[in-house]
Amino acid sequence: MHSTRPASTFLSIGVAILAALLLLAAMVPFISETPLNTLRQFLTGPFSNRFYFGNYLNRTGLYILAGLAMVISFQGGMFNLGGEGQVYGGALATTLVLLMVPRFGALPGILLGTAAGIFTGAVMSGLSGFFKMKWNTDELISSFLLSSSIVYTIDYLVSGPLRDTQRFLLSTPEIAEQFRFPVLLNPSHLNAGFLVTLLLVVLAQRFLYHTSAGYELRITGLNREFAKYGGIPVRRYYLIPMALSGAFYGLTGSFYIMGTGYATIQGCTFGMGWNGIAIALIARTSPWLVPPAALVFAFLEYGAETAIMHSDFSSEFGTILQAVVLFFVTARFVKLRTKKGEL
Amino acid sequence: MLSAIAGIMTPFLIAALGGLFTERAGVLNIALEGQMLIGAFTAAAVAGTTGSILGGLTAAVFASGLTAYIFAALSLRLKANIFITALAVNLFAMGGTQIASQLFFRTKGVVRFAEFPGLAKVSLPLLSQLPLVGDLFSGQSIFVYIGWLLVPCAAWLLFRTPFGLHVRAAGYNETALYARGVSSRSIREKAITISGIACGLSGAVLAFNLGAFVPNITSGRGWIALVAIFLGYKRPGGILLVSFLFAGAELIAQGAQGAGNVPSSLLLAFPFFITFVGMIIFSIVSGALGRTQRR
Repeated sequence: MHSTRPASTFLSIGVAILAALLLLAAMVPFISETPLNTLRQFLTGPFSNRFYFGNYLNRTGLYILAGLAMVISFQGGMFNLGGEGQVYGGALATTLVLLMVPRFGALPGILLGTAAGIFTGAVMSGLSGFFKMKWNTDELISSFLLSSSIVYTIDYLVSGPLRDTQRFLLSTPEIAEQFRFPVLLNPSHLNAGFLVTLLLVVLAQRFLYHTSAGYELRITGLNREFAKYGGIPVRRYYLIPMALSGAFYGLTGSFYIMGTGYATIQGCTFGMGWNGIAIALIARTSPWLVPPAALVFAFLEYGAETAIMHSDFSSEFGTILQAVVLFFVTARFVKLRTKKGEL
Repeated sequence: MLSAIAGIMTPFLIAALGGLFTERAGVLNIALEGQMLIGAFTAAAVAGTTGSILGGLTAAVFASGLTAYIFAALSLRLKANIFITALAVNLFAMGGTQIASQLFFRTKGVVRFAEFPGLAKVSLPLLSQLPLVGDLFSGQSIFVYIGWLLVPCAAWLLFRTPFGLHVRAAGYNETALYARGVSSRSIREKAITISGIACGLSGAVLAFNLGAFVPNITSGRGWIALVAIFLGYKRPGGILLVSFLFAGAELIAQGAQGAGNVPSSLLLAFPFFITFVGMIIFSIVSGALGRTQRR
């Protein structure tokens, strides 16, 4: 899964991003009467003022977490396709726990909420890993199916039994003030969670490359047979990467609630699961490269959104963007011999 | 009851039969969902504007088949990870149909057409008189019968022709295929294109049944079809049986909604959940029987 051929690697990433940019540029004349102005907004939008810039960084932070989730999954040779539901589940768990303890102090509440999010994501994804370990159930399909059923269930809960009827949105009530992460850049949403996220990048790197469990996880992901002969208990590395990946996705949901949304709104996490996959692949499954990859991806998405905010396509655009990046990011444009099972 | 199940199972059945070729060729095709969605949109758009079922069908098969071919050719020739490119197809279908819907019909919601051509109801002589199973053969749309006809067709193509042998060899023993001078890449490209054509047909059936295009009309049916391939032991007959069971489950879910106990938004979760449970049970059972799955 680790590429050892930098030329081809960077070429495919370059082509993926270039293709995305070209597509966006090509769409502009259709959606705008002043295409040049729109294009300029697209390229400079995220940097035009404190509000946009802060929100851009904030989104990057959430994408870093989602990207790390997929990095761990890919490094362990597993395919967690349930990110959407795990982020959403983590967000709802955090919201519900914090709504139950409105009088808790800030720190115990935040820790409890975070734990709830992590736990929910880890269990959802870990189940797929467990079934793979026990009965060889394809984790790619099972994680997707479980996640989809959870997404629709939460959509229902948020629009029905858990809905705050005081709000216009399909949303749960908001969490108490003391549980909200301090804002770093007024008036944007950029918050202290971003700093914790950067710390987690370092931790993920330390775990994967400087601990024996991380080593075993990576070796098992690279070659299960080899790892087995090396005496690594490979069976448990069906479960561990999946659970860890789900934990990171769940944490993404938690941080979204405590730093950005303050309530589970229907569809609030749309796309983060898919974005995590795109970002982990742009980063070539290296934790160090996740922040720059997230910066690039969020820039493409955020730029597109600010530029076409007044058109009819804003949400579909994000989806097309993910598609274009995913389509080219693992392609090999230089003809080289490739090993089997390599990403 | 049986009659309704026959109607519901047709899209699953056709998509799964197409996906069977990719599965046998050694490619887990998770793009079935997206291929179906593209087929459904094209079918609704063309049939709704031209008033021709045949036109809509042809366009759907063409659009979905072409998507599948491009998807196959680019992933296999550029050696991209096929799961990732398949995800791209699914996401592209989701966003693309919405954008096209907005561009052509000025709505991202349900697209209705003034005069959508209806489907003729056909009853088969003799068979519809049978006791118990007669319902399956009376008053069904023509596509139900086409779906059933495709079961023996797929079995014949897969098990009785050189092409089918090559497809199975591509999944089972690539080296043998290579030794015979057959390119497994070209076989896989063909298999994926077949799955695209089948999904186009399957999506068209969905759209024709509704007489409209609804956003996310497939709502997971491509994934269910994919799981049906596993659960049917990768055989056309098995797929027929599993499609029947899934359709029965969906009918029960619709009944629950009709009885007013279950809100419709929650019902969207049901097919995914039941498929998940079915898949887990299947792997436990097949594990106990000592069979091994792919990968």
